Amino acid sequence: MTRPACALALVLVLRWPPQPAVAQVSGAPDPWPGPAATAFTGAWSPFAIPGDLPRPAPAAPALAPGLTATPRVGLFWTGGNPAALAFEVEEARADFHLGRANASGDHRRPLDPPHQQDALLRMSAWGPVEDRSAMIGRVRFDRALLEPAHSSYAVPPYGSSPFVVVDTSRSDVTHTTAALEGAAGWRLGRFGLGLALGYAASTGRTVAAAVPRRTQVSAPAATLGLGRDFHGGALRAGLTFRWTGRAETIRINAFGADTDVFVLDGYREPEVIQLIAPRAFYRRIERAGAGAGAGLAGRAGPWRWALQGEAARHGERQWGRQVNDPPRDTWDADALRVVAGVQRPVGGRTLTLHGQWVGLSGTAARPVTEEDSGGVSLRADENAFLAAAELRQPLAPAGWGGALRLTAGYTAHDRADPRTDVSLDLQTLVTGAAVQADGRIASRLLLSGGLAVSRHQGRGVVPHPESLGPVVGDLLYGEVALHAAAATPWALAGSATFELRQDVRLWLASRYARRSPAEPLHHPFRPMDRASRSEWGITLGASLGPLDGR
Amino acid sequence: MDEFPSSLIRSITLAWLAAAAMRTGGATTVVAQEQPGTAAIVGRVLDAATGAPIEAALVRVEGLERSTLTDETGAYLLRGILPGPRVLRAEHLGYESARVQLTVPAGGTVRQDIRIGRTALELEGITVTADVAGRARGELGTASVVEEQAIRHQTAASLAGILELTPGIGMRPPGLDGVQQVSLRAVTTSTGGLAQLGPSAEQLASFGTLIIVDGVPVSNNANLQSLGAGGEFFLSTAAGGGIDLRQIPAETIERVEVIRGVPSARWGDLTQGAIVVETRAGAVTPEVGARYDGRTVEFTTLGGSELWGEQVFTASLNAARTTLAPGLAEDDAYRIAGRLAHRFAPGGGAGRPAEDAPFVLDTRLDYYQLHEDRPENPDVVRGRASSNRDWGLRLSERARIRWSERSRLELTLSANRQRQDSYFQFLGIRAAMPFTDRLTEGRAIGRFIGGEYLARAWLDGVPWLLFGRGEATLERGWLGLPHTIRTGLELRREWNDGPGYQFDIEFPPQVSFTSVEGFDRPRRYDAVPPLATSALYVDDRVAIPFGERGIFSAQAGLRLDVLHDGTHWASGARDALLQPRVNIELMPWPWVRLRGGWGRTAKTPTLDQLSPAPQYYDVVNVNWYANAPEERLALLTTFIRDPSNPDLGFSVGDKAEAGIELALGAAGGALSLVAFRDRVHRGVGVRPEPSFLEREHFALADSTQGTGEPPEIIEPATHADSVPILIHRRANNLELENRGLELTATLPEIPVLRTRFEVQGSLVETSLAQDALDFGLNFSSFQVSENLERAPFWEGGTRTGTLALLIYRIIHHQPAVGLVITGAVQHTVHETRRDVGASDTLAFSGYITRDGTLVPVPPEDRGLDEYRDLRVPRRTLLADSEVPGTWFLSVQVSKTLPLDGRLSFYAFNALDRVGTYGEAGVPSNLLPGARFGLELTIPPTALFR
Repeated sequence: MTRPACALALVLVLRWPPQPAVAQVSGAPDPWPGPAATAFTGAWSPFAIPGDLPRPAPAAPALAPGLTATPRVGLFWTGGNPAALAFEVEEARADFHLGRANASGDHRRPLDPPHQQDALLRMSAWGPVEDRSAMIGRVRFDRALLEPAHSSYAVPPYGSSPFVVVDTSRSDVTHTTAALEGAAGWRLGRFGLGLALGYAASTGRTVAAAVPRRTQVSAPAATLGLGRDFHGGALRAGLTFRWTGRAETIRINAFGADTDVFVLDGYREPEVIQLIAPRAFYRRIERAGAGAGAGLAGRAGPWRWALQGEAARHGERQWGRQVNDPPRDTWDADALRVVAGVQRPVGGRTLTLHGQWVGLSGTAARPVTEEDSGGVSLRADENAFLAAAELRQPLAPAGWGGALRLTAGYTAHDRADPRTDVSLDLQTLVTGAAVQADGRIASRLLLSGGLAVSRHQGRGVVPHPESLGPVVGDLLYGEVALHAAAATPWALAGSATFELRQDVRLWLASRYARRSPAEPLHHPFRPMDRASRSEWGITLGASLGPLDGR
Repeated sequence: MDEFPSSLIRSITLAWLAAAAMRTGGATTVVAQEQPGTAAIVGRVLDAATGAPIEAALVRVEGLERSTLTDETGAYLLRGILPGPRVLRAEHLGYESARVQLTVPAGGTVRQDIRIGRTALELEGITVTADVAGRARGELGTASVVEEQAIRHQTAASLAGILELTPGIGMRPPGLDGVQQVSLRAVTTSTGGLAQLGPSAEQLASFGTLIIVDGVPVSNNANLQSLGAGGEFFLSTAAGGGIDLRQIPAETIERVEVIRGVPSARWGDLTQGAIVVETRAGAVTPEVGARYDGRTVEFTTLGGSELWGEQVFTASLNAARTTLAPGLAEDDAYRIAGRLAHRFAPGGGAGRPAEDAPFVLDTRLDYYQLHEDRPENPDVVRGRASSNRDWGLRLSERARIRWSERSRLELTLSANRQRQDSYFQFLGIRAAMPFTDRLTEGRAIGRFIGGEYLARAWLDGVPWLLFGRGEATLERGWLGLPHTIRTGLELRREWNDGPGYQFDIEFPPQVSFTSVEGFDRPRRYDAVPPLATSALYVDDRVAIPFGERGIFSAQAGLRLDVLHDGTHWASGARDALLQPRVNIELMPWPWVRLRGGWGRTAKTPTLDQLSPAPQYYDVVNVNWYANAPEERLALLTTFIRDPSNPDLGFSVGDKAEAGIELALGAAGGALSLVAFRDRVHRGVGVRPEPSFLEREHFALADSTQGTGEPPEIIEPATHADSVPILIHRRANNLELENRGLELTATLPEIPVLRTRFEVQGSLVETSLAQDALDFGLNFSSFQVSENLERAPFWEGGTRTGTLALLIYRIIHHQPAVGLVITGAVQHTVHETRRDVGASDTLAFSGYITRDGTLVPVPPEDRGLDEYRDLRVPRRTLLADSEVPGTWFLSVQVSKTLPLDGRLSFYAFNALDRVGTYGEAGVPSNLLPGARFGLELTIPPTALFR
């Protein structure tokens, strides 16, 4: 899958459960091209609780060919408060699409599969329900084949938590993921009440492997929102309360062959667990997070604006013994997020500005590790900032439309392992631009195309590979080296939309993206300086609702 | 059926109804007087979305054979409705059927409009669970009725998944995993039978649960896919229990009635209850459905059409596959099920209920194929593989003839043929031992087997069931009361035509050198005598109004089952049982019903129980194991013992229950509480019968090694001794008692949140007592050790269990957007297992000698020194255990799609809760892992509208 890296919003998508885009103005981080990919924003997603800052591989900004809807700014659309849903959703819309994507190439992080295929089914809809309420929801069903994979993750590695289970058998893995999210909002006079619920699950297993590896993840989430209108809707204030949980189980059975299993926990060389047939490995991960936030949104002349701040705390517990109350590895993190959006018309166009900051501080501990560090295996302080601007020309009834989008993102990862004195101080700056043109070439046929490019630059203090052990050097240094090196990923996308009848459209969209290092990229174990990685995706979909999204 | 006296009266009536409808605004209202003792229901059927009247919609009263069609204004009239709580149902092609509950008084006319929609999800008051106040058709006993709306909403791959909506039955992951059976009102966690012999409480209860599909019983009595009481390995088949419910796809079911209480006399061959299944037939809008999760893929298509007004064809096809050990092995189970239904109604009306036409002939052809394959995975267990492959074909004919306004005759005939092929292999690792393959009694030179070898066996059965029933129904008014009388004759014949049990004689799967066990040897199933039963029954149902609004209903019946001693119905009676059954219901006010019932039932023994496989006992006379294989010599004597029991007869069930049902407000809330006590006497189990075999010992000549020849046996025998054995004789020796409480409550919907809560729960205590002696785990040592002169035995024990199981459901419904969200929490509140009986060293009852004689020892003497060798702990009893309570959550979300489609997402054990691990003295209670998937249903015809 594409891993856009130009902005924090793109970074967040790598979190699992499926993480929605922060706002459509930044370009939704979705490898599935087409209008449905970004028409439906995800700030409201109950999974969108701050608490993880993964380090994705560089990628171009997402493109949404065929999207002609104007981005939105508001307490619901920007801040994700479901209490504002009934105030900010006025029309009904539904999207369905089926897609297929493929990624391959060696410009990748060590735990990424060399080759990956995805098939996806997605449905989404929103609209008012009766007089004083509105609902929004989406379903995603994804089946991925990783060829091969040797980490036992259901959650992609290189997140904020340092714990990653890896085994040395390399087998093809299939992952089936389903995510279901929905929110309902009610208007009670000047007050609003909203509830968003989400559930995501994933199951993964090796394909015809001598060392079967199975993973199972279940993740519920909920957001409660309260809101109130002031001055006839000129000012809207709201509170959000979020909760999320996750349970993950990893099982590795050494049946037909032996394997070594590691649990990465920082920058110290991990203990090797030798699985000699017929032994088995088990790990259970349970995580819970809770957060609260407050937001304001309003109108001032031609301006629409929204501001939301949130704080969250996460606790993760991991263990490997199938007994009641086993000893646990822990990861605890506190996160803050501030997001803002501003929008105004400029001539016949719409200018939308978006910004976001996320800060995270976390500590990992193993109960059986060093006494001199109190069991702490890693401390992390991470920050990310995103800014994006979009100028959109609406599609004329018999003419052209388009959008120009500029993005800038800055991330800083400060991670230290007190047991080894190895630390990582990595900063990246990503700037990007995307341009999209839409044209009606026949009464019922709409063509759309776009180009996106970004510049990924990294700097900082990176541990020397010789200071790391062979496992950490291989699996983590490669990721850090790729993250720190410059790259210029780009993407092309196009779509054709056929209007079956008023408010019913069928569309076909495709996307191609490629990345390679812009400067020599050295890795002691993997030759990557000439590597590249390309991705393509094709999507067939249908949309019900007005073309302009209003 | 309701027939109008004339078109004039009909027109006047409908015009009057239309006026009444305008006056009352759609509420249920009593608007006129009907004949004494019965009432009429009138109203209109309307489109839920547009409010437009729907012409030719079928309106019927569930549980009563009354139906009619609406006219061009959507109006209908049903007359002659017996008083009491009723469920009115409206159906029309292209629409989802709708159900409305109402109370019919003992006279007058009730008006009730019904709104139906193209998808059930958009209907107000959608039902997604069993109906608390539901009644099986023609039944007054406690029942859970699951309607099509709830079935479509339930995530289920088979009938077993739908039965989860019944109190006391826990939720299970949707799929074709393992043999699926159901045991009504029994603790499902009872572990195994007593003393390793005979069925568990769960098996006995599932065996005593009758499954009826489209009016025809689906029996398991001729299933011989097991290897007797002494079988050394486990076959994944339904033999010995109920039928494997995986053969009935959930997607093709229209309605399920689970009669938990006392069934009417119409139903026989049961002890626990009856599950009456109706499949989708008639003029059905074609639809295509698919379901996918990480382990199961399922595809269903179904459709039906009316032709020339006289005939209706319906066809369905279902294919499903479940991966049984994903990621670990290639084990899988798959099913293909197809059904053709045809109705012929000369003169028209084939699309209406059968009772509306003067003559209706229904033909059903059902086919299923259910395979479970576990190929060898040498990485896991070398050499082990098995498969169970079942095919079934059932043809049934039901003719319903109305010869007068109040008299009907129903004739049912069905032929059901199955083919069951079971295969297993395993890599046996044996010490060298002598073995003989004799199939007759006598002495034979044996051979030595040993080391590592691949044992393979096949069990190929072809069970048949012929069933016929003739039933007459008369509706008469006697003593001023409306009576519905049914009487019928039922004939069944079951046999197995399969080639039977075979194994590779070179590599026997069941041998023992450390004991003298009675094992099965190859036998043909077509040599097993068929089983013939017949039954006569009569029952009467009456409703008596009292006071202003009170109604007393009663149903009483008598059934006589005969188990014939020959293979046909003309032969004599081996056993016969008269079974009285009574149900009463008192409804002093429309919002309360008090009910009670008592009845006796009978369950026929199976072919395997009536004619068990002969048991082969091999006694080793000479065991000369020389170094050189050609010099080895074994002599064995084979004895054959017949474990059948000429006195074996029906299992007898006594069922008693009392309950109360309350209607909670006008918003559809209801509560049902039932106390029950079900007792099975004379359940068929195994009674170990001590006996002995004479073993001769011979001297050998020329036993010098290195000659290249085996030694010679010198006749006659030098001496003989006796070897004690146990013959596992079938007997009516089990007593199963289940008693408890069942609760079902639906709270009224909270209008603002469009949410309602439901609770379904049961508290059941089970005890299974076995009238048999327990010879302990060390009997085999006693058999082979000539020095041991006696061994202890104990009286049979009683295994008990309790289970308190609650399932809470929260149902959120948004008809405006066609959305239903259901969250179900299964909470195991309390669960215990306990064996009753002393297990200390003084618990023995006596001893068995080497010639099989049983010598009792009085309790006061058991401490004497002469019985020191008998004072050993009894190890066949389970330690008392209390299973830790646990809970898990399952979620289902269903949403309409454009073009009348429906998408459902489901997650079983959505939070992936583990449960609790076992600790010292505490058993584990681990939960099945999380499973999730999508279900998509589309009516293809909507694409062309």
